[in-house]
Amino acid sequence: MTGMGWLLGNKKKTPPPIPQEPSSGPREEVHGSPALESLVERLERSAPPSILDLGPAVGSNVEFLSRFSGRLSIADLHGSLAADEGLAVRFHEQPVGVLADLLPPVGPDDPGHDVVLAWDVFNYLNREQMDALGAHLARLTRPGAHLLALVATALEIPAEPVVFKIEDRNHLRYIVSGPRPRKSPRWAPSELGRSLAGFSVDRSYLLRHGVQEYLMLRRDG
Amino acid sequence: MWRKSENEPERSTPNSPSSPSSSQASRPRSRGAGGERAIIGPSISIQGDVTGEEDLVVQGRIEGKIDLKQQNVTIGQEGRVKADIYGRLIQVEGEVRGNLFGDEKIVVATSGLVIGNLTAPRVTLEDGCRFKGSIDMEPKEERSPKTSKASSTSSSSSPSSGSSSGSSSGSSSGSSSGSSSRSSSGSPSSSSSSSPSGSSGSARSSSGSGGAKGDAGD
Repeated sequence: MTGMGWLLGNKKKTPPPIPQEPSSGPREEVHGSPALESLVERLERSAPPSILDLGPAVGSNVEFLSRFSGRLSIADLHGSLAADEGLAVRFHEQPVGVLADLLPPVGPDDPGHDVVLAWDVFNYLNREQMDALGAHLARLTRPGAHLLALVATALEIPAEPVVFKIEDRNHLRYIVSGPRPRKSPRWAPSELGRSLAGFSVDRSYLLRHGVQEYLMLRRDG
Repeated sequence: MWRKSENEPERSTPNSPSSPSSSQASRPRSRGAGGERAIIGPSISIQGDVTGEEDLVVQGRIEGKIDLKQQNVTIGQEGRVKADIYGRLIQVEGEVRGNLFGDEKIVVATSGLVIGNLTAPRVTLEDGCRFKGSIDMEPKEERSPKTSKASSTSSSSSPSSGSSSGSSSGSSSGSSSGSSSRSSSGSPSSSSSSSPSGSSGSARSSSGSGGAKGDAGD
């Protein structure tokens, strides 16, 4: 997976990657994740949840989340776009129409997902894509649902979305790949809130390594 | 329990390129540790249902349904399947578009690609595999409760990986500890239960204001 299709979505909106010496191979870092811990605490007290993971399939995440039983839906947004350039082009031009293919709607009798693991997806979207995804996620979730997002506050982000592996209830392993970093959109909370109008911030944590973690709640109605 | 020798795909030699429309897939047979198994070679293409009473290794193409509820089914690296698969242990090393129903366990290997839903008491996604769909992690009712277990086999360094097999031990707590070696700090001193919309921006606490912060540092 090269991630080219995904990058296409932002091609016109973001400057080209900042030239730096290419890094070799994936890099791994472990960071604390207080938002994950907060989410886990809530899941431990709740009924088996329906979880929508926007990231790729990661075995250790499936293992970790299986303790809550329930249902885990893996969307692999990045992988799907990277594997289909046509889809990536359409996602750039008309994100609303494509999202129904990328994230199928819940059934009429299904109250919706209880949790969305968005990881760093928002770092790789432009404004229109953010708006479309925010509205779509609101339709896919039930009121009170949680959304976990990691938004970059640093100037640069990896060229491709990071793969996050849950190490334990309050640590994430970041698997960073891609040749060189690119400029970060550094979404401000107000911008995030505008795009994710169906959600409100329940908790947020500014972390030292240039990431702000959000645990958001789907509003009623 | 999972016995790898039984389920490792066997390299099959291409056989007569017949393309039966359905039913018993049992041509080239090999005798594995667990008994007979049929191999559908890379040149074989089947459209229709596949049923039988022996383990199956698919290196060819199948479109339809594989119904071997009591048997092990392996989709080898060259296998391309567009079908729902019912089996006891299902291992995917090739490509499957369809839903998988494992009576005991489903394994998607590193080389595997699955687009569909997985239902089994235990599911293993190996690192590097590609999967898109849902995993039903509810334990089967007739099984002992809480046996639903999804696991990662190749995430070597995960501190919780030790629990990758066996039962999930009554939820929550359990393996989730064990993290003490890293500084977690991050006293979640957070908690702005506010709306991010508008300009309140209380979540943005780069200046240390509001509720947001608590570095879970490195």
